[in-house]
Amino acid sequence: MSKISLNKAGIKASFRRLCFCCLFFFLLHSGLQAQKISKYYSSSIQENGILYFIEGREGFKTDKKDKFLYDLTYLSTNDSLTLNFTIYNAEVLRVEQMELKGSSIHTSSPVSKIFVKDDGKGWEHRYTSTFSFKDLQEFYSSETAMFIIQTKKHGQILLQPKARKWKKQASIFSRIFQMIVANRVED
Amino acid sequence: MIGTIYTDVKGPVAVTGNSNSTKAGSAEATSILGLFATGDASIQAATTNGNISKIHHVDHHSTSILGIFSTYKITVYGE
Repeated sequence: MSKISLNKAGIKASFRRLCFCCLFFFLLHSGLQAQKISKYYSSSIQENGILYFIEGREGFKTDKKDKFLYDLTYLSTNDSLTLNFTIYNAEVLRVEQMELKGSSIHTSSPVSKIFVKDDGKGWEHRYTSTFSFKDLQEFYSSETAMFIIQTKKHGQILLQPKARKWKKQASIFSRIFQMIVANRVED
Repeated sequence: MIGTIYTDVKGPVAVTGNSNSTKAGSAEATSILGLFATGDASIQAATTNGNISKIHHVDHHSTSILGIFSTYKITVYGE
């Protein structure tokens, strides 16, 4: 009887240790993420400038829990950057426009379809849009933000991140933009 | 290259003779507990996601925490 209770206590202690280790490394990982921006972007030197690819970030969900992912591509010699995004929905959407709304900015861009495919539960839509670098810089310096996807038949889809997630994302993206500007060739 | 406790490694996958990339696309697969792994981290998926028709080079980015949660991401650069 006492052996069984000892074993139970041992299992509980091991489980607690495992949980502690997981929590420790999760916090360590989160901490590292907050400091290092290198894992959020990659850059490549081209003949006509530096190509930056800012990795897709999640954290945006619609009120119907539709998933939204996006990434940014920027060539340092251009004034505009490309925002590619994926939106999952139960129905096939015809997206017409992407809008970015921040504290002091509201800008929009027409979109082009890359593909629409079945993802098992619904439909995965991939579109591309173009925004000016300055507008994106201002958008990521906003305290609150919203992505608005305008569709032809399904109205608008609002995507607003939680304040905490946005604060972290905006600070990382702002720092990346700051680095891009710092790397520009001065006249 | 894999670290038992923590991995955050970027590396090369492939390079072609094309130059002047203007586009990039990525695709990712994830693994949980080393038991379940899902996702499509193929060059084909990354190329489609980035709307790329001509590939310049391909890199990967692997992350892992204690082997409990791992990701493998492919990024394709091209035009």
